[in-house]
Amino acid sequence: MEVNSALQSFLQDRQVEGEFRAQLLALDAGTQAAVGQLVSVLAPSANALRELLSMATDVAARDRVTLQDVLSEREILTLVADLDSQQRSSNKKQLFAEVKQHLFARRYPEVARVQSRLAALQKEIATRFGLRVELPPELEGDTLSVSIKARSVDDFAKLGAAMQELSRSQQLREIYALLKGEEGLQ
Amino acid sequence: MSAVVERSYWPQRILVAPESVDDAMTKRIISRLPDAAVEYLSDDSDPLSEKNNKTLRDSERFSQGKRTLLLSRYRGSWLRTCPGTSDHVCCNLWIVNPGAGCPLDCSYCYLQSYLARNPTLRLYTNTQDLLGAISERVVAEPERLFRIGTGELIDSLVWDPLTDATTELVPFFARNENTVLELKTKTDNVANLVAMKDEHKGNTVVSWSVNARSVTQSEEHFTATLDQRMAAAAQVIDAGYRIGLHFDPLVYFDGWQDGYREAIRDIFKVIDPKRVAWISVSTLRYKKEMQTMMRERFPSSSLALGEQFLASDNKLRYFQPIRFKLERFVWDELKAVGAYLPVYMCMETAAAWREVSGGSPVAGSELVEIFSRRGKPLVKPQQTQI
Repeated sequence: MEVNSALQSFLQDRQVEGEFRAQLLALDAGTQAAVGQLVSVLAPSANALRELLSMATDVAARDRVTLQDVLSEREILTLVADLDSQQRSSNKKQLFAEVKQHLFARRYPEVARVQSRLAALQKEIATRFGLRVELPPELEGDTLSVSIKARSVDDFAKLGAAMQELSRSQQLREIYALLKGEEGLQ
Repeated sequence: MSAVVERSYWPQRILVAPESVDDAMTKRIISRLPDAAVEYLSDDSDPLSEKNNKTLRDSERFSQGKRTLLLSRYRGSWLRTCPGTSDHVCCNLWIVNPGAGCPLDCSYCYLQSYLARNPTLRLYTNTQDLLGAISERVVAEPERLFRIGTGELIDSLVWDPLTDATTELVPFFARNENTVLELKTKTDNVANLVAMKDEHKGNTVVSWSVNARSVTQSEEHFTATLDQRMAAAAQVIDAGYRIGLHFDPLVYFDGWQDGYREAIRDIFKVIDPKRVAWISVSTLRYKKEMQTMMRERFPSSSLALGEQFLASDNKLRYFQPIRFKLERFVWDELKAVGAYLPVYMCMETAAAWREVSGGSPVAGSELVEIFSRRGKPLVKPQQTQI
């Protein structure tokens, strides 16, 4: 079978060898074409492509579909196929991050949903209360932390009041609920 | 001639180490498996070990090991505490291993990584040494309660139709007042236990690993069905034993709530909850290096494709919100059956104990010790020290 030309160029440019090279060359023509499109638009490193394909392969195995099906999902095609070449060249990093985020959300849907909601709540709290709420590392544990900086006694008083208000907020309750696997509060 | 008791998982090949040739257990097993090929070895090393066999992949060696039984003597330290896992709360179980490896084949079984280098199934034929080691320790500390399990590296009852090991263990524990034996299984091999209904004196608890039916059917190969396990549990309860239940590993799958609710409902249709000594709850976890083994050996299983991440103990676990969701649900369903049911969590964090049980972990693990002697004079529980 003739190797997809974009994939062939990628293998040469990135000097991909060993097991990963064999794995890519063993893909069927349709999947090679899908991977070829990814590498020509995103220009990832070999490790970055390996990471994307690892997530996509897991999704395919879990959902009982082909790797080509996953790599040809509308969200990915929209990202890699609908921009003109000029835009592509200036946005490769951003495009890669978006494709990766999409695949992460497909591979880890619950994690992605919770992480996204937590980030939104942290942002809301920062905007509304002026406080930065830190989540436990890896979302493991039940302890939140807030760091404050005050230049004066008045600052402390204002931050104290903001903390009081935060403690009564729906946002804070929802963060705890999300960490504990409870459904988000309405 | 066929085996005394037919089981689809009986080994096809028996290997005998030199020092085990004349042991009673060796002779008993060989006589009960007349169709198995018997080979006498020049030493007790595992012929399928990584060292002795470098051509096969780990997964292939492990699968081959499932149908070969090596009989040898154990020379190490028999009695030790459960290794638990770092940063997680432990229930203070002591363990003895009458062998290593299991002919049953659960896709999630941690032995796939733990015994990957020496995958041949083993049984130790010097059981008198095992009993001696336990006796020495428990007699030396009569005020201390020893809850001792045999189900860490083997299924406690899977070999019993061949070995009759329980006919030595159960009376031995009956004679030692400060001990409780936990036999943990996914089989229904309870004939010997039922026959000893007048001998166990309440010092043996028979535990079953249980799960949602879809998990037992698709992931726990060669095991008894949930109905068969509970029918066996009902038999040992009739024979006066208390039982344990281990909802472990809880698995996150489409319809998991219905799956676990139905399993709990069906279990307690058959089982009197007042005869339950303890129940553990914990979620799927395994060493990262086991993932490849799982995928190669069980390509149709989706367990390795869940939302697991590497935790501080170097095991892949569901991320916390999923773990808490699973554990809280099962915990609450069990408590709805009976608020008095002694439920604990195995290898979970202190945060999980606070959130799921509403209590402190230390109190929880002590409860297990206390409930293990329910109905008997209470021996003061102590924190495990080696």
